[in-house]
Amino acid sequence: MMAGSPAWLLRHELRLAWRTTGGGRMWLLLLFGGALWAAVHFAAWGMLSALNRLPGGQIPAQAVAIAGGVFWLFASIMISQTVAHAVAALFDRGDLDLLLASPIPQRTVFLVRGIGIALGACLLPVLLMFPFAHAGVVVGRWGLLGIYPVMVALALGCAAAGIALTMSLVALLGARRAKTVAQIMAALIGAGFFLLSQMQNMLSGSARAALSDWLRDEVQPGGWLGPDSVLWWPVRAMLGEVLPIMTMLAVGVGSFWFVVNLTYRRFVAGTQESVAGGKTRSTQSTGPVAFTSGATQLILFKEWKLLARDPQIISQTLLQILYLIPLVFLGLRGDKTSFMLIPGLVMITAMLAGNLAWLTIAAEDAPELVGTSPVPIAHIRWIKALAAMLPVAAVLVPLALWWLLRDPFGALALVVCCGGGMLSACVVQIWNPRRGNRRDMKQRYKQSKWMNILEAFGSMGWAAAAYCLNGHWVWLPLALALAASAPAAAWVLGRRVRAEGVLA
Amino acid sequence: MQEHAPALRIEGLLKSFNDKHAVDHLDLVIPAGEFHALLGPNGAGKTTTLRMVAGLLKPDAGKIAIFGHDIAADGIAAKQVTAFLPDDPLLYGKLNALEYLEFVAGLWSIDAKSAASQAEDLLKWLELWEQRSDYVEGFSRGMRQKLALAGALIHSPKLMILDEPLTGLDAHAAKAVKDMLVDYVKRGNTVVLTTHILEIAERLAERISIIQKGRIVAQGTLDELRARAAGAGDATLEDVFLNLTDSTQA
Repeated sequence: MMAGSPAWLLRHELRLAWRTTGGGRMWLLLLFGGALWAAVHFAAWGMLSALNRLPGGQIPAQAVAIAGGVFWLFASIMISQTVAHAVAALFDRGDLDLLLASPIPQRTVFLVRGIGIALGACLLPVLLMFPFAHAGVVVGRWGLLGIYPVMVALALGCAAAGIALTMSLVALLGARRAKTVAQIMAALIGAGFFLLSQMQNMLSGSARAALSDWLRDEVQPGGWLGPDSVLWWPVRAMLGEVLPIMTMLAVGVGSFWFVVNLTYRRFVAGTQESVAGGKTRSTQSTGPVAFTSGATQLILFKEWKLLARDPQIISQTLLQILYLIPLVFLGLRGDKTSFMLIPGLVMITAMLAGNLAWLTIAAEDAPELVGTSPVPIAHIRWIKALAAMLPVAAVLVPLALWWLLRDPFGALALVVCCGGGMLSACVVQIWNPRRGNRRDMKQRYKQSKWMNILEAFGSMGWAAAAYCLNGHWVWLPLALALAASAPAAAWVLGRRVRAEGVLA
Repeated sequence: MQEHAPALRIEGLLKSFNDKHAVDHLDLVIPAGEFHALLGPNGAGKTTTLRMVAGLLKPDAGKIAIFGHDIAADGIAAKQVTAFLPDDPLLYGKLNALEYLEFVAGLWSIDAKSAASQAEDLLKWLELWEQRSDYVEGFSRGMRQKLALAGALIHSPKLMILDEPLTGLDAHAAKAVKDMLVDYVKRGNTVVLTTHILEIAERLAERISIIQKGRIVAQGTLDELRARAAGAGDATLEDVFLNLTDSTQA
């Protein structure tokens, strides 16, 4: 392999990806993944064998439509992933300066990076779909080998879309803001699908009926969701139809080539811009300098400013609030089953408070400053926990007030159990302090599995308590014991860390 | 603050990581009003010592007292008069310079009015006034270092502990900081500084301690160290340092 060639560079990328993904445990991961892949093969063989036993052996039109829907769902998720990967490749990796300063053509660097993005995004669909191609060969459905070219086209097309989106954002907003917006976009696409799946719960009866009527019309032949629709061409390509395969390949490979060739110069410009730091952000301050007194107040304000000024954190927090929306809609409908929503609300609010507490307590940006200040560290941590709980409480209070008008006991259960869940999540952070970096918020659960388990136990205990308050009193002591176990375990497990003086 | 107590007294300080002594029964006394440089090769235990003095790390054994306040028993009083500036200060990217100083002043319970005025003076002196409303995340390494220094000075500490304070500063800023530190000591305050730039220690420090393998291997004025190293009278601190650390390593 010639040094500096695209293949050589691709090998370098794959080596880095290999070491980043699994490190020393990669072989274990491969073993587990291999077993899972074999199971998917078996399931695919079973499904295709059952299909062969149907009269005529034809795949029903409804199945094509459902598979088509799944395809576009995967494509959307893959695009959101490629946006995230493109952001990482463009802004976060530290090796671009080296690569772009080397005599390797910049187009090659970008081409290989693009292929890396495509490979990263298509991993899951490939693992799920290739078994159907292989099982198809076994049961005599050779057309399913069309899955191979479709997956190649899908990966390249999604990578092209992701890179193009990222590059457009860079052109429109500048490197730094583009990074933030791309991350938010990637997160919101996932949430969008969740809300779409919950649409039935959020719509009124008449709206649901109207939607059903509209869908029934559109799936008829000639409708834009009908069996002959272009939307289902990817599925027809996977079944081996030549024209859809050729079209998919042309679109996928062509768009990727087009994006690589047209945007790599902009990519380099974007990189330089990001290195230069872009436009400096500032706050308004023209009058005389005026400070506020009081450590408690200043710590609260500092934490809220840091949370509010970080769009990535805002997006991830809003994402969690988005998951509350269907529950809130159900709660506001006011039927007898509303009480059953409280456990769900407890889990979500505890998770939200836990995330914010991790940001304020564990992900303190200046631990040396806080640790060397004359304010006791335990006192600072409690104020930080308060800073985490108050915004969640602000979301919860209007709902509790609404509930109070209809079901005072339900409102009390909501406040007590949500409050308990939030406090439990924060106490785990206070009593078992671990250092974190706010940039790693999404990976925070990987940093300490015990913290993850304790937080989950605490919120599950309070959710179970909320369930028991709805007439299942006999189990209430057990639920409360489970709820209390999390802070107690955090206290015990955190003794050494607290004694060592490790700062959060 | 106790009258006549040394600014810093360290007795039998011990800290181990993975059964290896990072600081090995270290003793050190620095009188109030002294400019003291702590020198040593990489991994000698300088930063670990300073982090224990600042209350960021608990010693395995030994005592640390700042102006007579035991850091273990009376840590709050000790911290009230101390400022610690790490070699790579971590700041809040999403706060602006004024908000950062307001927060630091609040932690040390400084009156808001005097802190505001002090912040304005410090930012002007450190040539950060024009950037007072900019988020710290947009600051260069040198600007961050200067802002951290302003944060260390805003509560008027009696003892400043500085770990490589001139890293990242341009020549003008480095000169201003050096002049400020000398002036700060002249006003009766104490500075303990680590640096790899021996010329800084040679020019600024009244006394120098050389630390190696977690222990103080030599201590004194530059002349005393020259005599200890048995070198020529005109030997530079670099010659003395290399001589002493070579001889103790052998």
